[in-house]
Amino acid sequence: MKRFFLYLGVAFMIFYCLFPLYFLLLGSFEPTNVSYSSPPILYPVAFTLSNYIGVFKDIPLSTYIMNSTIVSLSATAIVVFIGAMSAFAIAKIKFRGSGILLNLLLIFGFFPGAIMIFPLYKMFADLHILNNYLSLILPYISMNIPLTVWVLTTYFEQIPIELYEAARVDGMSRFQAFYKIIFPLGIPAVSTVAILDFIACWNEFILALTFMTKKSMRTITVGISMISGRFSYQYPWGEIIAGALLVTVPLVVIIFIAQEKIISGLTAGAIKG
Amino acid sequence: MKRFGKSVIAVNKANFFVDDDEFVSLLGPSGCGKTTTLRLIAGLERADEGEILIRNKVVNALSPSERDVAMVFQSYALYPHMNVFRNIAIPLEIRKMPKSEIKERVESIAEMLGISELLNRKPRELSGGQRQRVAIGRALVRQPNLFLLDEPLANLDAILRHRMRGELKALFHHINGTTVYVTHDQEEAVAMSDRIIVMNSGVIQQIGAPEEVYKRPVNKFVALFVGTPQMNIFEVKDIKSMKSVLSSQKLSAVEKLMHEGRVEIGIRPENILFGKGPLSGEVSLIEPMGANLLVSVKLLLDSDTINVKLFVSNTMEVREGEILKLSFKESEILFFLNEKRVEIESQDQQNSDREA
Amino acid sequence: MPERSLNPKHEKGYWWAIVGFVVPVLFFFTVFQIYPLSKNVWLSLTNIAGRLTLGNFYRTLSSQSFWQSTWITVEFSLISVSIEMFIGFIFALLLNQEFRGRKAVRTIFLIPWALPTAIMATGWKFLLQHSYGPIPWILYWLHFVKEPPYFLSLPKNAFISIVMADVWKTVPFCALLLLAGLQAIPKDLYEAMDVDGASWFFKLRRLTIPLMLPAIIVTLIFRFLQAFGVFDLIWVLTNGGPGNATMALSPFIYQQTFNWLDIRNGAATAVMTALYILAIVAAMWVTRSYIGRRYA
Repeated sequence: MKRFFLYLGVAFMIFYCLFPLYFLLLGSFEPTNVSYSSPPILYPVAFTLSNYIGVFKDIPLSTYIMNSTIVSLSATAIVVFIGAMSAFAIAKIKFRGSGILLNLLLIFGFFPGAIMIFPLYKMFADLHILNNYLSLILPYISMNIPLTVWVLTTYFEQIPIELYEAARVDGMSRFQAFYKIIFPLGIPAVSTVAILDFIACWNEFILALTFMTKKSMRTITVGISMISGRFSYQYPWGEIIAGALLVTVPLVVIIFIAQEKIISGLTAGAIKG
Repeated sequence: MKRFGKSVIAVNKANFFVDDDEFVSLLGPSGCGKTTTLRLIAGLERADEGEILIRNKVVNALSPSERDVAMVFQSYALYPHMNVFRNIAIPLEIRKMPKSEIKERVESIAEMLGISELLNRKPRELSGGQRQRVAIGRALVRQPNLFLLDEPLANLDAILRHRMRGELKALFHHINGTTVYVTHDQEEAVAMSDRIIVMNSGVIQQIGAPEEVYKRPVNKFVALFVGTPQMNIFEVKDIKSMKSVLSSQKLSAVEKLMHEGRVEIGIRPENILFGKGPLSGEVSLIEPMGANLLVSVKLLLDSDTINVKLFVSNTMEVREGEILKLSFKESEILFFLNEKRVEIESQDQQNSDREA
Repeated sequence: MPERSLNPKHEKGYWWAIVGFVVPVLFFFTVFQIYPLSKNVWLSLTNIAGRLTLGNFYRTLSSQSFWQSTWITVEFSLISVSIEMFIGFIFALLLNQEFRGRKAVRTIFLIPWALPTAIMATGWKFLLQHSYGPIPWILYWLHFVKEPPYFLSLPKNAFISIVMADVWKTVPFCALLLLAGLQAIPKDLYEAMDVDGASWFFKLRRLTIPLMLPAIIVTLIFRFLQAFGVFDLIWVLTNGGPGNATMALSPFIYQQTFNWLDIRNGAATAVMTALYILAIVAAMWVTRSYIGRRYA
C-alpha cells in the first residue's frame, strides 16, 4: 500500500515536469489547422515536419545557435580559468580581505541584470561594441564570477593544504603549484562549474536582448522568444514551439550526460553559499 | 618566534643549531610547537621575530621553493593525479633537469627504496608503507640543504613503523644528509637521532644526545616524557621517609634543598633492584611486557606510601598482594627542585669524580 | 622593533602573487558590475545638467507605478516561493525514498531548471492561449472553471500565469536543493526513532523539519532573491501587462530606461531595487547567524 502511494507520487512528479513538454511536442508536429483548432485536441491526430522546416527558413536559426555557442563557450572558458585562479588564492594562499571579497561577490550575484544594464549599454555603445560578441562575452564573464568562485573555493579548500605545501617545498612557484597540482585536482569541480556557467550564458536574456540589436547577432534564446514578441496576433505558433524545442535539445543532452555533476554543483553553490 | 593570533605563542625562543650531516629530532607532545618549528624552517610559516639561517644565510624572506629544503609530510602529500615516477621526479622537473638524468636518478632512488615495480602506479593504488617510501623518495631524489621529516612514521601500523624506523635510520646515515625529524614518539627519537631537542608548550626544554636526555633530563617534564614506562617520581614530604633510600650525606643535602622549595625524587624502573634491600612493599599490579614483568609496588616509607614501578624478569614468580624487598640504585637517583633537576653531590662521589 | 625589517610577515612577492591571482576577477567584477551599479547611483542622484539632486528619487518614490511595481514584485516573490518550497519539500521527501528509476527522475527534474526562462515563457504563452491553448480547456473540462479562462488578458489571471509558470520551472530545483539537505541527515537518527517506535509523522515533525530548517531557510532566501529580480518570464509572457498588472521592478526599470528613455528615473528605480536586495541579504545574515547559533 505504501509502495502504491509512493509510485503514484513519483508518477505525478514525472507528469509535473513533462506535461508542458508533451503539449509543446504535440503542437510542434501538428499542421497549422490542427494546432489552431479550438478547443484543442490533446492527442496526436496528424503529423508534419513543416514547422521544423519552416523555422529554419523564417529565422536564421543556425546563425542564432552559432552566436549563442560562440558567446557561451568563450565566456565560460575565461570565467572558469580566472575564477579558478581567484578561488585558488582564496582557498590556498589565504590573504586578508578574501572573506570580504567572497561576500561581495555573493551579494552582487543576487543583483538582477536590470539594475546595471543601462550603464553597460552606454559603455558598450561608447566603445562601439554593441552588436559585437564582446558586448555579451564580457558581462557574461562577470555575471558568472560569483558562482564560479564560490563553488571552486569550496572545492579547493577540500584539497589537502599539504599538497600545495609539498609543491612549494619541491620548488614550485605559486603559479606552478596552481596549474600543476591544484587545478588538475580540481577538474571535477571545474567541469561542474563550467557546465553551470555555460547553461547560464546560453539562457541569458536581458543583456542579449538589449545589446544585440541587429537581427543577425541575436542569441538563440532571444531569437526564439522575439518571434512571439513581434506580432500581436496570429503567432506562427508551430514554428515558435519547434524552435523552442530545438534550443532545448542541447541543454537536455548536457543534463543527461552530466546530471550528477550538475546536481552536486547546484547544491554546493546554494547550500554552502 | 611565531605567534598564532594575538596571544598564542606557538614557538617561543627556539634557539638551536643543526650541524652538517646531523640527524636531529624535535620531540614533544602534540601541540608543543615542534611541527610549527619545522614549518618555519621550511618557509611554510612566517617567523614573527628572530632569524632562520640555512647554510649561514638568513632565509626569513625566502619562499619555500627558494630555500632548497626537502620535506616529508605526515600525510605524505603525494600528488594523487601523478604516478609514482612523476611524484618522485617533480622536484627535478621543476629544476629543469634533463629527462635522461631524471630517469636515471628516479630509478636509482626507487631501487634503493625497493619500489621499482611501483613506478607506474598512482598513489591511491599503494599501501601505507609504499606511499611512505614514495614520499621519502621524493625528498631524497635531490640533494637539498636540509631534509625535514614531519612524523613520517605516524600513519603506519606498529610493525611497519618499527621496521621503517630502522630502514630510515640506515638510509639517512647512508646519504649523510642534514636532517630535522619531528616526532612525538620518544622511542623513535631515541632510536634514530644524533641529538634530540625536547620541546614543550613552544619552549625548548633540552638539547642533547639521546643518552644524555634519557639519563640526565634537565627537568621533570623531560624526565617523564622520555622513556617508557615513565620514570618513577615522588615528592619528598618528610625527610625521615628517605632514610632507607639515601645515604646520610645525600640526606642532609636533600634536607637543605627542602628549604628552597618542592623536592622530588626520580628513579627509572630499571634502576630499582628487586630481591633484597632495605625497602619492602606490596605488589598491586602486574603488567607482562614480553621478557619482563612491569610490577607496581606500594612502598611504605616511614609514614608515606608511594607507588613505584619496576621490572622483574618473567622467569620470576610474582603475585599480586605479595610483599617484595627492594632497593634503589643510589647513583641513578635524580633530584628535582621545583620541577628542575639539581645535582646533589655526596662527599665520596666528589672524591670518586676527582679520582676519575 | 628593529628586527621587523629583517622579518617580513610574508615571503617576498607575497602580495604580488595575490594580486596576480585575483586581478583578472577583480577587473571584470569592477568594470562590469561595480562600475555600472555606481554609475546608476550617480545617474539617479544627478539631473541632466549633471547637478546633484534628489529629484529623481522624489519623483520615483512619489510615483504610483514604482510602489505598484514594488508590491507586485514582493507579492510575486512571496507567493511563488512559498508554493515552490511547499511542493518542493513534498517532492524532496518523495525523492528521498528508495524506488526504482530514482536517478532517472532526478534527471527529469533538471529539465525545467535548465530550460531558458525566456523559452519556457514562450512555451507557456502557447499553453495558456485562450482559444487553442490546452491549459484553459483542461481546466474547463475538469470543471474547475465555468468557461475556459482568459489567462493573459485579465490582470489577476496574468499574475496567476506568471506565478504558475515560475512555480513549474522552479519546484524541481527547490526539490533537488532540499533533497541534498535531507540526505545530509544521518540515517542513524531515524533508526533511533524507529527503535523508539515513532510514527512517520512524528519523525517528520520532530526530526526532519527541525534538522532541515537551516537548509529550508537558506533555499527560501536564495529563491526569494532570485524571484525578486524576475525579468525574462514577465517580459516574454505578459510584457508587464495587461496594463501594468505584472510590471515587476526589473521590467519596470527596463521600460523606464529603454522604452520611455527616462534614464534617471530608471536609475533611481534600479538603486531602490538594489537597496531592497541589500536589505533582504542583511536579513538573511541575521537569520543565518541566529539559526547557526540555535542549531550549530
